[in-house]
Amino acid sequence: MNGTMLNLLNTAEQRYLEAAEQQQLWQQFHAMTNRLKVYDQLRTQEAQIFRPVTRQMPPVDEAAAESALRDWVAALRGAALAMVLDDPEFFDHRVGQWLQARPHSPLHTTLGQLLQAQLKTVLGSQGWPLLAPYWEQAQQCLSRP
Amino acid sequence: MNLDTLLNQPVPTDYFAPGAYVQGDLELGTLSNRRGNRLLAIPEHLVQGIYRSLEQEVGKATPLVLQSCGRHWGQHLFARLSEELAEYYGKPLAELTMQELVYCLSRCWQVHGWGQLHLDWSYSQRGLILVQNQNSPWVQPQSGSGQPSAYVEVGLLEVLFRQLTGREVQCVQIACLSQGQGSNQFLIGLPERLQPVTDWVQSGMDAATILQRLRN
Repeated sequence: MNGTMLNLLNTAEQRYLEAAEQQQLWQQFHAMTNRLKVYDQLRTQEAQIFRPVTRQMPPVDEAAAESALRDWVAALRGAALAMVLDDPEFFDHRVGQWLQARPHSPLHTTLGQLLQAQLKTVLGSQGWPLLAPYWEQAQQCLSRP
Repeated sequence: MNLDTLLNQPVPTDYFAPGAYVQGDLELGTLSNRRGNRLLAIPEHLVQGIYRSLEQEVGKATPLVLQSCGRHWGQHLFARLSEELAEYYGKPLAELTMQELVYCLSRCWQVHGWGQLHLDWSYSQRGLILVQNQNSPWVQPQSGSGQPSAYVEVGLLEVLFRQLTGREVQCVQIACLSQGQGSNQFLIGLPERLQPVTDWVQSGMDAATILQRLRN
Protein backbone atom coordinates (compact mmCIF):
# COMPACT_ATOMS: atom_id res chain seq x y z
CA MET A 1 0.00 0.00 0.00
CA ASN A 2 1.41 3.37 -0.91
CA GLY A 3 2.23 6.10 1.59
CA THR A 4 -0.77 8.31 0.75
CA MET A 5 -3.29 5.52 1.32
CA LEU A 6 -1.57 4.39 4.48
CA ASN A 7 -1.55 7.92 5.89
CA LEU A 8 -5.24 8.34 5.10
CA LEU A 9 -6.16 5.07 6.77
CA ASN A 10 -4.06 5.90 9.81
CA THR A 11 -5.79 9.29 9.98
CA ALA A 12 -9.14 7.51 9.96
CA GLU A 13 -8.22 5.43 12.99
CA GLN A 14 -9.86 7.74 15.50
CA ARG A 15 -12.22 9.89 13.44
CA TYR A 16 -14.15 9.94 10.16
CA LEU A 17 -12.27 11.16 7.12
CA GLU A 18 -13.24 14.65 6.04
CA ALA A 19 -14.64 15.35 2.57
CA ALA A 20 -11.28 16.43 1.12
CA GLU A 21 -9.63 13.33 2.54
CA GLN A 22 -12.37 11.11 1.14
CA GLN A 23 -11.82 12.79 -2.22
CA GLN A 24 -8.16 11.75 -2.02
CA LEU A 25 -9.28 8.18 -1.39
CA TRP A 26 -11.60 8.27 -4.41
CA GLN A 27 -8.73 9.52 -6.55
CA GLN A 28 -6.60 6.66 -5.30
CA PHE A 29 -9.32 4.11 -6.14
CA HIS A 30 -9.90 5.53 -9.62
CA ALA A 31 -6.19 5.61 -10.32
CA MET A 32 -5.89 2.03 -9.10
CA THR A 33 -8.63 0.92 -11.50
CA ASN A 34 -6.63 2.33 -14.39
CA ARG A 35 -3.45 0.76 -13.14
CA LEU A 36 -5.18 -2.60 -12.77
CA LYS A 37 -6.19 -2.43 -16.44
CA VAL A 38 -2.56 -1.96 -17.42
CA TYR A 39 -1.61 -4.79 -15.06
CA ASP A 40 -4.06 -7.10 -16.77
CA GLN A 41 -2.71 -6.06 -20.15
CA LEU A 42 0.78 -7.00 -19.00
CA ARG A 43 -0.48 -10.32 -17.64
CA THR A 44 -2.46 -11.34 -20.70
CA GLN A 45 0.12 -10.09 -23.21
CA GLU A 46 3.25 -11.27 -21.44
CA ALA A 47 4.18 -13.65 -24.25
CA GLN A 48 3.51 -11.00 -26.90
CA ILE A 49 5.83 -8.65 -25.03
CA PHE A 50 8.66 -11.13 -24.61
CA ARG A 51 8.49 -13.10 -27.87
CA PRO A 52 9.71 -10.34 -30.23
CA VAL A 53 12.43 -9.52 -27.70
CA THR A 54 13.77 -13.09 -27.67
CA ARG A 55 13.81 -13.05 -31.48
CA GLN A 56 15.98 -9.92 -31.47
CA MET A 57 18.35 -11.15 -28.78
CA PRO A 58 21.99 -11.40 -29.82
CA PRO A 59 23.31 -14.97 -30.11
CA VAL A 60 24.55 -15.94 -26.66
CA ASP A 61 24.96 -18.99 -24.48
CA GLU A 62 21.52 -20.47 -23.79
CA ALA A 63 21.95 -20.60 -20.01
CA ALA A 64 23.00 -16.92 -19.92
CA ALA A 65 20.05 -15.97 -22.11
CA GLU A 66 17.60 -17.86 -19.93
CA SER A 67 19.02 -16.39 -16.75
CA ALA A 68 18.81 -12.79 -18.04
CA LEU A 69 15.35 -13.38 -19.44
CA ARG A 70 14.18 -14.89 -16.17
CA ASP A 71 15.44 -11.82 -14.32
CA TRP A 72 13.49 -9.52 -16.63
CA VAL A 73 10.33 -11.61 -16.29
CA ALA A 74 10.63 -11.27 -12.51
CA ALA A 75 11.40 -7.56 -12.84
CA LEU A 76 8.40 -6.84 -15.03
CA ARG A 77 6.04 -8.87 -12.83
CA GLY A 78 7.33 -7.01 -9.77
CA ALA A 79 7.10 -3.64 -11.49
CA ALA A 80 3.54 -4.41 -12.60
CA LEU A 81 2.43 -5.18 -9.05
CA ALA A 82 4.23 -2.17 -7.60
CA MET A 83 2.44 -0.07 -10.24
CA VAL A 84 -0.97 -1.39 -9.12
CA LEU A 85 -0.13 -0.51 -5.52
CA ASP A 86 1.57 2.72 -6.61
CA ASP A 87 4.32 1.83 -4.20
CA PRO A 88 8.01 2.11 -5.18
CA GLU A 89 9.05 0.62 -1.84
CA PHE A 90 7.06 -2.50 -2.60
CA PHE A 91 9.17 -3.05 -5.71
CA ASP A 92 12.39 -2.44 -3.82
CA HIS A 93 11.54 -4.80 -0.96
CA ARG A 94 9.96 -7.61 -2.99
CA VAL A 95 12.21 -7.83 -6.04
CA GLY A 96 14.52 -4.82 -6.29
CA GLN A 97 17.12 -5.99 -3.82
CA TRP A 98 17.06 -9.51 -5.23
CA LEU A 99 17.58 -8.20 -8.76
CA GLN A 100 20.44 -5.97 -7.68
CA ALA A 101 22.21 -8.98 -6.24
CA ARG A 102 21.91 -10.97 -9.49
CA PRO A 103 25.09 -11.47 -11.52
CA HIS A 104 24.97 -8.75 -14.14
CA SER A 105 25.67 -9.30 -17.83
CA PRO A 106 25.62 -6.93 -20.82
CA LEU A 107 22.67 -9.00 -22.02
CA HIS A 108 20.57 -7.51 -19.22
CA THR A 109 21.07 -4.05 -20.68
CA THR A 110 20.30 -5.18 -24.23
CA LEU A 111 17.17 -7.01 -23.11
CA GLY A 112 16.08 -4.01 -21.07
CA GLN A 113 16.26 -1.73 -24.10
CA LEU A 114 14.41 -4.19 -26.33
CA LEU A 115 11.75 -4.75 -23.69
CA GLN A 116 11.21 -1.07 -23.08
CA ALA A 117 10.56 -0.46 -26.78
CA GLN A 118 8.13 -3.38 -26.84
CA LEU A 119 6.34 -2.22 -23.68
CA LYS A 120 5.82 1.24 -25.11
CA THR A 121 4.27 -0.30 -28.21
CA VAL A 122 2.01 -2.71 -26.34
CA LEU A 123 0.86 -0.34 -23.59
CA GLY A 124 0.56 2.75 -25.78
CA SER A 125 0.58 6.36 -24.69
CA GLN A 126 -2.11 5.77 -22.02
CA GLY A 127 -0.67 2.74 -20.29
CA TRP A 128 3.09 3.20 -20.59
CA PRO A 129 3.34 6.32 -18.37
CA LEU A 130 1.68 4.38 -15.53
CA LEU A 131 4.28 1.64 -15.68
CA ALA A 132 7.25 3.86 -16.55
CA PRO A 133 8.37 4.88 -13.01
CA TYR A 134 8.40 1.25 -11.87
CA TRP A 135 10.06 0.10 -15.08
CA GLU A 136 12.73 2.70 -14.35
CA GLN A 137 13.29 1.08 -10.94
CA ALA A 138 13.72 -2.28 -12.65
CA GLN A 139 16.15 -0.78 -15.15
CA GLN A 140 18.25 0.67 -12.35
CA CYS A 141 18.50 -2.77 -10.79
CA LEU A 142 19.32 -4.75 -13.91
CA SER A 143 20.78 -2.41 -16.53
CA ARG A 144 23.85 -1.41 -14.61
CA PRO A 145 26.86 -0.10 -16.55
CA MET B 1 15.10 -22.20 -24.07
CA ASN B 2 11.34 -22.39 -24.27
CA LEU B 3 9.78 -18.99 -23.63
CA ASP B 4 6.28 -20.35 -23.05
CA THR B 5 7.56 -22.75 -20.40
CA LEU B 6 9.37 -19.89 -18.67
CA LEU B 7 6.34 -17.63 -18.71
CA ASN B 8 3.95 -20.32 -17.54
CA GLN B 9 5.76 -20.93 -14.30
CA PRO B 10 6.33 -18.88 -11.18
CA VAL B 11 9.61 -17.00 -11.26
CA PRO B 12 10.84 -17.00 -7.66
CA THR B 13 12.69 -13.97 -6.41
CA ASP B 14 13.29 -13.04 -2.79
CA TYR B 15 12.10 -15.72 -0.36
CA PHE B 16 12.84 -13.50 2.62
CA ALA B 17 11.18 -10.34 1.25
CA PRO B 18 9.94 -8.85 4.54
CA GLY B 19 6.30 -8.12 3.64
CA ALA B 20 5.78 -11.59 2.23
CA TYR B 21 7.91 -13.60 4.62
CA VAL B 22 6.68 -12.48 8.04
CA GLN B 23 3.01 -13.03 8.69
CA GLY B 24 0.95 -12.73 11.82
CA ASP B 25 -2.23 -14.29 13.14
CA LEU B 26 -3.68 -11.96 15.74
CA GLU B 27 -6.40 -14.42 16.76
CA LEU B 28 -3.86 -17.11 17.57
CA GLY B 29 -1.36 -14.58 18.85
CA THR B 30 1.37 -16.02 16.66
CA LEU B 31 3.84 -14.94 14.05
CA SER B 32 4.86 -17.28 11.29
CA ASN B 33 6.85 -17.26 8.08
CA ARG B 34 5.32 -17.57 4.65
CA ARG B 35 5.38 -21.37 4.90
CA GLY B 36 3.56 -21.35 8.22
CA ASN B 37 6.56 -22.15 10.40
CA ARG B 38 6.37 -20.27 13.65
CA LEU B 39 8.53 -17.22 14.36
CA LEU B 40 9.11 -15.59 17.72
CA ALA B 41 10.00 -12.02 18.51
CA ILE B 42 12.34 -12.37 21.48
CA PRO B 43 12.96 -9.19 23.47
CA GLU B 44 16.57 -8.11 23.79
CA HIS B 45 16.16 -8.04 27.56
CA LEU B 46 15.33 -11.75 27.58
CA VAL B 47 18.56 -12.52 25.74
CA GLN B 48 20.49 -10.44 28.23
CA GLY B 49 18.58 -12.08 31.10
CA ILE B 50 19.56 -15.53 29.81
CA TYR B 51 23.20 -14.49 29.63
CA ARG B 52 23.20 -13.02 33.13
CA SER B 53 21.40 -16.02 34.61
CA LEU B 54 23.79 -18.44 32.96
CA GLU B 55 26.75 -16.49 34.33
CA GLN B 56 25.24 -16.77 37.82
CA GLU B 57 24.21 -20.41 37.57
CA VAL B 58 26.95 -22.07 35.55
CA GLY B 59 29.74 -19.47 35.56
CA LYS B 60 32.70 -20.50 33.44
CA ALA B 61 30.64 -23.06 31.57
CA THR B 62 28.52 -20.28 30.06
CA PRO B 63 30.41 -20.08 26.74
CA LEU B 64 30.10 -23.84 26.25
CA VAL B 65 26.38 -23.82 27.04
CA LEU B 66 25.74 -20.91 24.68
CA GLN B 67 27.80 -22.45 21.87
CA SER B 68 25.88 -25.67 22.33
CA CYS B 69 22.61 -23.73 22.07
CA GLY B 70 23.90 -22.14 18.87
CA ARG B 71 24.79 -25.54 17.43
CA HIS B 72 21.32 -26.93 18.10
CA TRP B 73 19.83 -23.84 16.51
CA GLY B 74 22.19 -24.15 13.53
CA GLN B 75 21.11 -27.72 12.85
CA HIS B 76 17.45 -26.79 12.84
CA LEU B 77 18.05 -23.62 10.87
CA PHE B 78 19.88 -25.57 8.18
CA ALA B 79 17.11 -28.16 7.98
CA ARG B 80 14.52 -25.42 7.75
CA LEU B 81 16.44 -23.45 5.14
CA SER B 82 17.02 -26.57 3.05
CA GLU B 83 13.36 -27.43 3.05
CA GLU B 84 11.92 -23.97 2.60
CA LEU B 85 14.38 -22.71 -0.02
CA ALA B 86 14.17 -25.95 -2.02
CA GLU B 87 10.39 -25.65 -2.10
CA TYR B 88 10.41 -21.96 -3.02
CA TYR B 89 13.15 -22.06 -5.65
CA GLY B 90 12.11 -25.47 -7.02
CA LYS B 91 15.56 -27.02 -6.64
CA PRO B 92 17.64 -28.53 -3.84
CA LEU B 93 19.70 -26.15 -1.71
CA ALA B 94 22.89 -27.62 -3.21
CA GLU B 95 21.79 -26.42 -6.65
CA LEU B 96 21.36 -22.79 -5.66
CA THR B 97 24.17 -20.67 -7.06
CA MET B 98 26.64 -19.33 -4.51
CA GLN B 99 25.29 -15.85 -5.18
CA GLU B 100 21.71 -16.99 -4.49
CA LEU B 101 22.73 -18.80 -1.33
CA VAL B 102 24.72 -15.88 0.06
CA TYR B 103 21.88 -13.49 -0.75
CA CYS B 104 19.36 -15.75 1.00
CA LEU B 105 21.54 -16.06 4.09
CA SER B 106 22.03 -12.32 4.43
CA ARG B 107 18.32 -11.66 3.87
CA CYS B 108 17.43 -14.39 6.35
CA TRP B 109 19.52 -12.61 8.98
CA GLN B 110 18.04 -9.22 8.08
CA VAL B 111 14.41 -10.24 8.14
CA HIS B 112 14.68 -12.08 11.46
CA GLY B 113 16.46 -9.16 13.12
CA TRP B 114 19.71 -11.13 13.59
CA GLY B 115 21.82 -8.36 12.04
CA GLN B 116 23.50 -7.52 8.74
CA LEU B 117 25.44 -10.61 7.66
CA HIS B 118 28.30 -10.20 5.23
CA LEU B 119 30.47 -13.01 3.84
CA ASP B 120 33.98 -12.12 2.72
CA TRP B 121 35.77 -14.63 0.49
CA SER B 122 39.05 -12.73 0.24
CA TYR B 123 40.73 -15.12 2.70
CA SER B 124 39.76 -18.22 0.73
CA GLN B 125 43.38 -18.76 -0.33
CA ARG B 126 44.13 -19.34 3.34
CA GLY B 127 41.16 -21.73 3.43
CA LEU B 128 39.11 -19.31 5.53
CA ILE B 129 35.83 -17.45 5.19
CA LEU B 130 35.39 -14.18 7.04
CA VAL B 131 31.85 -13.65 8.31
CA GLN B 132 30.86 -10.25 9.64
CA ASN B 133 27.62 -9.45 11.39
CA GLN B 134 26.61 -5.91 12.28
CA ASN B 135 23.90 -5.34 14.88
CA SER B 136 24.02 -8.86 16.19
CA PRO B 137 21.65 -9.44 19.13
CA TRP B 138 23.76 -12.31 20.48
CA VAL B 139 26.33 -10.33 22.41
CA GLN B 140 26.84 -10.25 26.14
CA PRO B 141 26.78 -6.57 27.03
CA GLN B 142 29.63 -6.80 29.53
CA SER B 143 31.33 -10.13 29.28
CA GLY B 144 34.25 -8.70 31.26
CA SER B 145 36.66 -11.24 29.79
CA GLY B 146 38.01 -8.99 27.04
CA GLN B 147 37.48 -11.94 24.72
CA PRO B 148 34.80 -12.04 21.98
CA SER B 149 31.55 -13.27 23.49
CA ALA B 150 28.97 -14.01 20.77
CA TYR B 151 29.04 -17.68 21.69
CA VAL B 152 25.59 -18.49 20.32
CA GLU B 153 26.62 -17.10 16.96
CA VAL B 154 29.88 -19.08 16.97
CA GLY B 155 27.96 -22.33 17.46
CA LEU B 156 25.32 -21.38 14.93
CA LEU B 157 27.76 -20.41 12.18
CA GLU B 158 29.96 -23.43 12.82
CA VAL B 159 27.14 -25.90 12.34
CA LEU B 160 25.58 -23.99 9.48
CA PHE B 161 28.82 -23.92 7.51
CA ARG B 162 29.52 -27.56 8.33
CA GLN B 163 26.20 -28.45 6.77
CA LEU B 164 26.69 -26.12 3.82
CA THR B 165 30.24 -27.19 3.01
CA GLY B 166 30.04 -30.83 4.08
CA ARG B 167 33.37 -30.34 5.90
CA GLU B 168 34.17 -30.37 9.62
CA VAL B 169 34.90 -26.65 9.74
CA GLN B 170 35.25 -24.68 12.92
CA CYS B 171 34.40 -21.10 13.75
CA VAL B 172 36.43 -18.62 15.77
CA GLN B 173 35.24 -15.17 16.69
CA ILE B 174 37.91 -12.52 16.18
CA ALA B 175 35.99 -9.29 16.93
CA CYS B 176 32.97 -8.52 19.03
CA LEU B 177 30.49 -5.71 19.48
CA SER B 178 31.05 -6.09 23.23
CA GLN B 179 34.68 -5.04 22.66
CA GLY B 180 33.54 -1.84 21.01
CA GLN B 181 34.07 -3.18 17.47
CA GLY B 182 31.60 -2.21 14.71
CA SER B 183 30.59 -5.80 14.08
CA ASN B 184 31.01 -9.36 15.22
CA GLN B 185 33.61 -11.03 13.03
CA PHE B 186 34.24 -14.72 12.65
CA LEU B 187 36.68 -16.83 10.70
CA ILE B 188 35.51 -20.23 9.52
CA GLY B 189 37.77 -22.98 8.23
CA LEU B 190 39.19 -26.43 8.83
CA PRO B 191 40.77 -26.87 12.30
CA GLU B 192 44.36 -26.99 11.02
CA ARG B 193 43.86 -23.75 9.07
CA LEU B 194 42.15 -22.07 12.00
CA GLN B 195 44.55 -23.09 14.79
CA PRO B 196 46.88 -20.06 14.46
CA VAL B 197 43.84 -17.75 14.55
CA THR B 198 42.58 -19.41 17.74
CA ASP B 199 46.01 -18.88 19.34
CA TRP B 200 46.11 -15.24 18.24
CA VAL B 201 42.64 -14.54 19.66
CA GLN B 202 43.54 -16.18 22.96
CA SER B 203 46.67 -14.05 23.18
CA GLY B 204 44.44 -10.98 22.89
CA MET B 205 45.34 -10.00 19.33
CA ASP B 206 42.81 -7.68 17.69
CA ALA B 207 40.91 -8.50 14.51
CA ALA B 208 42.70 -5.96 12.31
CA THR B 209 46.09 -7.47 13.17
CA ILE B 210 44.81 -11.02 12.66
CA LEU B 211 43.41 -10.18 9.24
CA GLN B 212 46.58 -8.32 8.31
CA ARG B 213 48.66 -11.38 9.20
CA LEU B 214 46.40 -13.57 7.08
CA ARG B 215 46.78 -11.23 4.13
CA ASN B 216 50.60 -11.36 4.28
